[in-house]
Amino acid sequence: MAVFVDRDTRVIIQGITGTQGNYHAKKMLEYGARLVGGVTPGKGGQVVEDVPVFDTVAEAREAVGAQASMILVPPAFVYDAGVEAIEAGLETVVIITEHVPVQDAMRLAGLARRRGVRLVGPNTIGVISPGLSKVGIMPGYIYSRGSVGIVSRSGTLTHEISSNLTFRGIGQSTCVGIGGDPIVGTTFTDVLAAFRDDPETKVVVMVGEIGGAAEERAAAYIKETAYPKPVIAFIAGQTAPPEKRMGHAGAIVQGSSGTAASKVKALTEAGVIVSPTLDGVLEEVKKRLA
Amino acid sequence: MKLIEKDGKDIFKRFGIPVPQGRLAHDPDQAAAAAAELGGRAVVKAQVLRGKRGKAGAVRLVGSPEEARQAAAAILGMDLGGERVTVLLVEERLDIAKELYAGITIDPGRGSAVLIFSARGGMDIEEVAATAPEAVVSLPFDGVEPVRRHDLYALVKRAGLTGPELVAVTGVLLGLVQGFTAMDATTAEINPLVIVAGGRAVAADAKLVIDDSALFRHKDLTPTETEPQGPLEKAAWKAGVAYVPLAGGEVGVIAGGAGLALATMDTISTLGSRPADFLDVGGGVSVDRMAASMRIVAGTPGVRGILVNVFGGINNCELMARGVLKALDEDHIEVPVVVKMRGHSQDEGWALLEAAGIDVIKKGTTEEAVRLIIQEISERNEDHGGLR
Repeated sequence: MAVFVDRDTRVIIQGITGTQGNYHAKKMLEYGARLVGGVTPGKGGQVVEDVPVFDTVAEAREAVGAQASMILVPPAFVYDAGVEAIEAGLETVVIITEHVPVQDAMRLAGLARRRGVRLVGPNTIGVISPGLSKVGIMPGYIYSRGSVGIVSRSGTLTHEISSNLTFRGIGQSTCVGIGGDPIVGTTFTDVLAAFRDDPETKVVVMVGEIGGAAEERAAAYIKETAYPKPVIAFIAGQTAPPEKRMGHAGAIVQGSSGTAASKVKALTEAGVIVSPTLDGVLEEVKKRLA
Repeated sequence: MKLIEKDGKDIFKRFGIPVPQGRLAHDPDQAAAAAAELGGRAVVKAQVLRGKRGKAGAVRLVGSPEEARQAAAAILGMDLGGERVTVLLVEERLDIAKELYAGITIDPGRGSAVLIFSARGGMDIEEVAATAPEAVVSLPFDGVEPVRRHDLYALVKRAGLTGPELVAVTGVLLGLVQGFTAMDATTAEINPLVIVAGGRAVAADAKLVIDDSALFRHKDLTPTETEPQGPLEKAAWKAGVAYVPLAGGEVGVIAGGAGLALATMDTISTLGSRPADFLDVGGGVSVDRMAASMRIVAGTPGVRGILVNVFGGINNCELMARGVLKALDEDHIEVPVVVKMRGHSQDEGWALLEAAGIDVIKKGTTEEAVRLIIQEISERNEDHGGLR
C-alpha cells in the first residue's frame, strides 16, 4: 500500500479535453495509472484516449467510480473545479495548475480540511508511486520503485533528485510534490506522517526552499514525534540574496524569517541530516540504505 | 503587486474605511497647490514601495504652501533603500488622539488569512507583540465562512476598546476584511490606524499588496507608476518568466521551476563561481518563451556563459531545445551554453541541440552541468587572452 496513490486508485482528469489534459491522460495511461475518465463541462459524451468524458465530477464518480482527480484547468477555473471535486466526495484532489490566486487556494484548502478530503497543491507536479500509478505530470521513467519517500515544495527538484537516484539504481516508494505556493492543501508534516506509517518507505528525503516556515514546522513535528525513520533534507536558495522574491510567492527571505540558516538549524536540531548540496543527498541516501 | 500608499487608501475608501483628504504631487509646485487646497497645514509623504520613510526624513509636516514646496523639493529625488522618490502624497494633518494597528496577511502555517489588531500602533507590529502581547489580538479566517461584524466586536473588545472607539474600529476592520477579500490581497495593513477627535478611526497609512496571480480579476486596477522598469525586467514580464538579475555574477541561469533555479544558483556559488540571475521559465514553455529567456539572460550584465537546467514535466524538451536554438540563431549569442534537460520528448530535444553543437547533460546531475559551464567559461577566457 503506497502513500496517497496506489495501483487501484481510480483517477479522472478535470480539464481532460485541453492540450495539457489530453497529453497527460496519454502519459498516465502509458504509465499504467488507472485513468477512468475525465471532466470538461459541455463535452460530456466525448472520448479522450479511450476514456469517457463527463460534464460533471459527480457524473464521473457515479459512472466510473472516480476516487481521485487531477485538476489541469487554467488558473481562473481552478476554484470552481476544486470545489466541485471536493463536494462530489472524491478522496484525493491534486491541483497541478500554477498561478492559482492565493485566496482561492486558501478557500479550497479550508473546504478540503472540513470535508476530510486529501487536497494536494496547487502548483505541484502531483503524486507518483513509481511502478504503480501517478496522479501527476512527472515524466514516469525518471522515477523507479523502491524505498525512498520524497516530499518536496519544488517540482523540478523532485525530478532532479528522483532521476539522480533512479540513474544510480535507487528507487522511490512515493514522491509527493506539495506545491510551491504560500497556501497548499497538504504540508510537509502531512506527508511525513503518511511516510511514517508506510512500511515500504525506509528513508525520507525532504526538499525545502527559502521563505516561509514550512520546514521549521516539519522540524518541530519530527522532533515532537521522535520520527522513527531517517530524514535527509535539502534546502534550495542557501546563497540567494535577501529581500528579493525568487519566483513563486514562497521563496523570499525577509529579515530573519525564512532564511536557509533558520531552516537548517531547526532541522539539524530535530535530528534531520541536512545536505548542503544536491549530490550530497544521493550519498546520504546510499549510506542510510546500505 | 505592491501599491503605493495613495492607491491603497483609494481602495480602502471604497470599502468604507475613512482616509485623510489628499492628492498626489509630482513636483514642488503641485505640492504647494495641494497644500493650499488643504488650507496650508499638511503632511508631505514620499510614495515608495519598499524604502523606509520616517527616519530618512521623507515624511514632513508643513504649515504653509511654501513649506510644502520646500519639503517636496527636499524629498523628491531622495534615495530610499535604492528606490528614488518620484511621487509625493500631500494630505491633511490629523489631530491624533491614539495610534492603533490593523493588518491582514496570509499565514501559511495555518493555511489561512489572519487579521491582527493592536491597541498600540505606529511602530513595528512584531515589536508590539514582543513588548505588549496583551494589546495584540488576532482572528484567522479562510473565506469558507464570512467574517461577521459581531466576530470583530468581540475581537476589538478583547484588545480593550469600548464605546464609540469600539464601533469605529470594528467598522474599519470589517472594511479591511472585505477589501482584502474582494481585491485578492496578500497583505492589507493600516499602521497607524488613528483615533481622531470625536472618536473617529482614520487610516493614516496604507499598505496593500495584490496577489499577482489574481490580477486577471482586477483588470481595472491602474497603479501609480513610481519607478521605471529596466528593459530586461520588462521583457521578462512580457515573456511571462520570473527573472531577477544579480549583481556581480557570471553564469546566466535559466531553470524550470523556482526550486531548481535556486538550487542551481547555490551549486554555482558552492563551486566557486557566481550566478548572474534567477530565471524560472515556468510551465507550458513555448519556443518563443524559451528564446526570450535566452535573450534576457544573454543581455544580463556580466554573463559569460549560460546554463539551461530544465525538465520535461509540464514542459516539452523538444520545444525548449528549439527555443534555445532560435535565440542562438537570431541573436548571435556568443557565450558558451550548456543545456541539462531530461523528461518528456528528451530524445528529440537532445538530438536538436547536439546537431547544433551544444553541450548536453543527459543523465548527469546539476553539479556536473555547473562544472561544465564553469570550465567552458574559463577555457573561453584563455582563448581570448583574458581580455573579457
